[in-house]
Amino acid sequence: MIRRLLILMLIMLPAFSATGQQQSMPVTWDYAGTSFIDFASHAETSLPVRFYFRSEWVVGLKMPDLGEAPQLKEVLDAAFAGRNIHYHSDDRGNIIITGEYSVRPFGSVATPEGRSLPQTDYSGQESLTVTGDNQVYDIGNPSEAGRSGIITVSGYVRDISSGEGLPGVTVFVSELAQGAATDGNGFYMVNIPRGSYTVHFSFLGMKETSVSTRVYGSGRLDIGMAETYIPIEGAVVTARKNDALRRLETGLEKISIATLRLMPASLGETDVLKNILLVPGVKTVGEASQGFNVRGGASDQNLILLYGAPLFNPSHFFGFFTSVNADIIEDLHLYKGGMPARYGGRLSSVIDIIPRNGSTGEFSGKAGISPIATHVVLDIPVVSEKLSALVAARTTYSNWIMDLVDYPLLNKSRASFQDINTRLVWTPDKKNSIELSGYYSFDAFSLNNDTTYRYANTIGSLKWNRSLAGGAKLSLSASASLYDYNIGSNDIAEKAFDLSYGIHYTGFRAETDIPAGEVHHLNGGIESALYDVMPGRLMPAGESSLVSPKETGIQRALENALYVEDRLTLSESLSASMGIRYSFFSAIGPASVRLYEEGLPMSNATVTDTILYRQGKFYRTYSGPEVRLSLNYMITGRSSVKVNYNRTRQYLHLLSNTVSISPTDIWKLSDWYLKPQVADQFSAGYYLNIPWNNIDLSAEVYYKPMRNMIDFKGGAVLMMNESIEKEIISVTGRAWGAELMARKAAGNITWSLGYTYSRVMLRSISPHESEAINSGRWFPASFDRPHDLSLSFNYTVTRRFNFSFNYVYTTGRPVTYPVGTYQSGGLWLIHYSDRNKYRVPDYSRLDISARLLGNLKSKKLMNPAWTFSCYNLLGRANVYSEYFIPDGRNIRAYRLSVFARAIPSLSYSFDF
Amino acid sequence: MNRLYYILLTATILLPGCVTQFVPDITGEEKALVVEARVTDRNETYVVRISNLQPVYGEYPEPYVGISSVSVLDDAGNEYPFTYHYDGTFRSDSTVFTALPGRKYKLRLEGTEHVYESDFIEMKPVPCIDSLYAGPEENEFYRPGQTTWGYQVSLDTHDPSGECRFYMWTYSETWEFRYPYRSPYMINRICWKSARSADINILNTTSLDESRVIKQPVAFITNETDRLIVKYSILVRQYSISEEEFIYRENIRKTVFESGGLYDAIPGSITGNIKCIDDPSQEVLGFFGVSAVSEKRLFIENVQAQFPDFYAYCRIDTVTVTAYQNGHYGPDVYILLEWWEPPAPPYYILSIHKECTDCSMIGTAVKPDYWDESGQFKTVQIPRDEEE
Repeated sequence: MIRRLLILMLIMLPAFSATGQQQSMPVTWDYAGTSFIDFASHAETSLPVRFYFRSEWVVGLKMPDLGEAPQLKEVLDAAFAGRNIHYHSDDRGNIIITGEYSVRPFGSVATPEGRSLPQTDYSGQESLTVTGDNQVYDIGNPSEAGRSGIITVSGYVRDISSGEGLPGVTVFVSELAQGAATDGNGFYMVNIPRGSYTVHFSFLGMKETSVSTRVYGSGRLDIGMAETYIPIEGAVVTARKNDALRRLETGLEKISIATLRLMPASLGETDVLKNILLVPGVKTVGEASQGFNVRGGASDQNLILLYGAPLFNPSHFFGFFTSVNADIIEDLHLYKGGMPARYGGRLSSVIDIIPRNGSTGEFSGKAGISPIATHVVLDIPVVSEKLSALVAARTTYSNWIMDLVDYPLLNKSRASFQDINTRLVWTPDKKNSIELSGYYSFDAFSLNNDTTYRYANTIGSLKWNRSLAGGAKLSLSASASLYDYNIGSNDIAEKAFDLSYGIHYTGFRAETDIPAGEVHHLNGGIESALYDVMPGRLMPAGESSLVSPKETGIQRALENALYVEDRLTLSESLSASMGIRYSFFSAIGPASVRLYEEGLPMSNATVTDTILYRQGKFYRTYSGPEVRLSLNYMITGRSSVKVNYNRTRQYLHLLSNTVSISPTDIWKLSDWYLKPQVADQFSAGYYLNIPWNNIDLSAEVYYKPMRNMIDFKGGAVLMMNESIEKEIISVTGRAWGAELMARKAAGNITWSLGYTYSRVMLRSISPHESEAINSGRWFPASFDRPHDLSLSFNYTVTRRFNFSFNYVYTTGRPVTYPVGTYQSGGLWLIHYSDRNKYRVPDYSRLDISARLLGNLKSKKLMNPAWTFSCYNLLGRANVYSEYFIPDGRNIRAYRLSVFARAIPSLSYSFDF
Repeated sequence: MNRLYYILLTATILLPGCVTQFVPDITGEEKALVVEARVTDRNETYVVRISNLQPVYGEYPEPYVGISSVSVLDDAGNEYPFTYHYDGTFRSDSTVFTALPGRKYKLRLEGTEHVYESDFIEMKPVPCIDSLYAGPEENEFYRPGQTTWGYQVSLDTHDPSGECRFYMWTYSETWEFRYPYRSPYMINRICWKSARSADINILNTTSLDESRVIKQPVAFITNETDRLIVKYSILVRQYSISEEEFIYRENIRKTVFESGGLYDAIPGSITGNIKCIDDPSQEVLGFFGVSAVSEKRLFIENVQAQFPDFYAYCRIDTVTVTAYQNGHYGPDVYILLEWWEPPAPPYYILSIHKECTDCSMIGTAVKPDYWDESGQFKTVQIPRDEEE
């Protein structure tokens, strides 16, 4: 059992006085021969002290007999004598026990008894775990002091409570303005000249740790970081969010799961993707709709990576929930602006879901229940410190809710979803680690016992990381991601059918990361992906079905990419990144390509010829470079300017002719007619840290032209369509905007306020006037919402109680209104024109959430947490869409709201 | 596959969604010519209806549409002119022109400024309706979640030749209604009302091995109308339509009647097969359809369900004859019934609605000629509705 506390945060504070000023604390009870744990708990009840320790340090420790009523200090000194256990007590009665090394508060002198920090091993092989204090640590052999040249400091950054390596921690040497990030195992490496430095370790959701070092030579510095959510009484921790200032890319958001958990959740489920809608520049067509739009990009232009593989449908329950369980996530990186060269394949954004590794220390678990679903996650250290397993599962039980509702259609309907994640991480030695991950999500939906919809994502991934000499790293990974759906109907036996669709991705990546001297840091690799799309198979269901089997041919394509990127530290204040990615895409036969008469709209009537390509023939290849550039200039230590340019190419298109994407939309590969989508993004940003209250300000602007996007002719049938090119209208777009953000990320009260002004306009490009949308004029995209304000606030009232709220305001989305009515076939019909000329009313929503943790006593089996949240507290009926139904000569206009009132929910979870 | 729409509705009911009506502020208007025409294999007068797109709000614009001549051309080079009719339509001469299956036809309109033409469309043969039947059913007729009882009229058909793959159905319905009171003051008590289908009912059988249509819903007649009280008749017309027309009607159906859901398409302009040949930017709405037609009629009578009192509104007051004759109620009231049970004074039951004494105000008092010929068609006697 662990005393959960941030011992080490205490230590770094000068507020604590030196040892030896204790008042008289006689030990009056029968202590001799008791275990230390019993002794400590007795002492806590009898004396004004509190103990903080790890149980493994005191295993088997029996208290010595020092006669009647000795002073507490004497007992402790005697008990720890000869053991590698040290303690520190402050003037508030906190007694902090440390294993392995002692605590030396600021200003104190090392105790002569040798209980201070053990001497640093200058060989550089042995490591010390440092958690940040005001002490100066020596790295390397002091005899080398005065030599010049670059040396390497490396080590692991671990979560102090679980011992797990922390990936993605920013390591920053402030004097050099040079940084690095930890890899998936928490390992980092910086190449710096010898000298004295302050090294900052920062990571969202963790307390920033700063270590003063004197670097004499290459050596090891291991860091223990502590979570933020239990602040120390009386401590004022000033976290410095250097991240935004120093990293190269504009438009990168890191969201930690700890932050997500505090945010209000709709229907009680922590939703990893819904919360990114609070990030400036991220929008959605409407709430509860699948998909989101990043900086004017369509919703198929976001690459969601889970275990390194693309996740094709990240939604459960038709978009109401994200299909990735929050329990398995470490954090989330959203790249909306500058995109590193290692990412490609989508135009607008990458969401890299960084999975959590199972604990290698202790078995633990967590389970929870919300109105919609129940979930459980287990951390299983299979082999201590070597092999960890993480298993998480989630399932819904909404079916019984449907039965409760007094509504016949629903009673006969069924909806369910499940998802399962497993992850094994094997670290045979410090140089190697192997990760094996698996994911499966499943949704089933049936209405009125009639049509059944099923869809499933399956991901499997294997990755090998290896550390090489000189701080270089190599990783090899192979992964597969499958998305399949199936629609079945047996309402009428003669018409019963079974329709299925699938897209299968198989990918391989080899990547290396080479720190090359003081200036360069290289990252490069190759990536290869094979796509198989089964665009549709219609089968009769049952004996009496008259449905004739039909299968559209499998589409296959290979997408390869080669990339290299150099992150340059040009001077103390200037850094840059130059990357290039070259992607090749080949559509592979068999295929039949219809040729159409030139100069006429494509239709069945204008087909002139059909070319058949044999199996395995690369019948159409597209390729192109994607340049990724960024430059960061630190004006002062607290402000910086960045500029970015990147080009992205996308070979995979989601065919959707609806406002919101649906699970039955189909992914289509580029082929003879369907060209890759291409976007350029120019962005620039200014970042400022205000020392007062430690507020980060940022302003980013971007301009993004896009081309070869797709839209469809009215009413196009996309499913089972063998010649989709007839239905496609090519669209170009341009998006621009400014994003302003103010954020306070540390302290009891944290908040962020974002405002975005952005536009996205589209124009159809067609040589045939009859096909052009809005006669070829620019029109706003359905997700064009110029003004967007979001405020998120979190107040940690006490260590157990936490309150937060979100407020969102956006301009209403564009809609198309009728321009007239006419009579046809005895009916009055509505004629629409001028796409997206009007807008629905503005959107405004307030959510609140409060979390109460169980008591913080250590001696209990479970750590329960209650979360109450209320979505749309104001009960505002935000309009999702406006639509029109003819009623004779008149037109009736309706507004649809998805969540028209406040939705409270209560969920319960516990750690064990 | 449009079930996704219902999924949305389901989801919005499960979650606290809502739909409200509002008055949109629509500005601007658009000009477009609307042409609606169909030729069939029946020996009947074909009608080409030409109008203008009407603004959403406001006055009807001038009926002048600038079309001076209308004709249909076939693939054998014949041209059949249509003549202008007083109501703004152009009509064919059924003694000269009857379209034939297997032939191709196109429509040509000539105006003062532009010439409009459709493509050639082949007339596909249509099979007979195999059976037309009705049965009691609980259905979500008005809106999801609110079920109501009524009779579902459905049909089966099949085309052994497999030529007809795209079907469309329309119907016209006629029913007899009687006021539940008799009196010599009434002008007409028994009448017939008629209505036409007001939806787009189409189906394609391209995904099936054979062109077979089973349990195709045609109409749902709820007990909440007066249709089934006495006797009801429905005449269903089955059309073969071209693939282009099927796509067009399907687009219209989706755009006009199924918009607004999470998974519904963005509405847009839908134009048919008639184009302005000298100026492609001129928008033409409507469609020129070429269809073979078959018909079947179904009668429903002796329905033993309980119906609401549809004529409760007629009886507004019961007054003494003396008071009425003294003119206390003005001239705009109508006597429905006289009622006298001595020794009480005689009473009149009055209405302010003239149609309550003369049903020909809301129907026709002329019995349709086929009304008693039910032997010629199949008479369906529906058993008593067990529910109500």
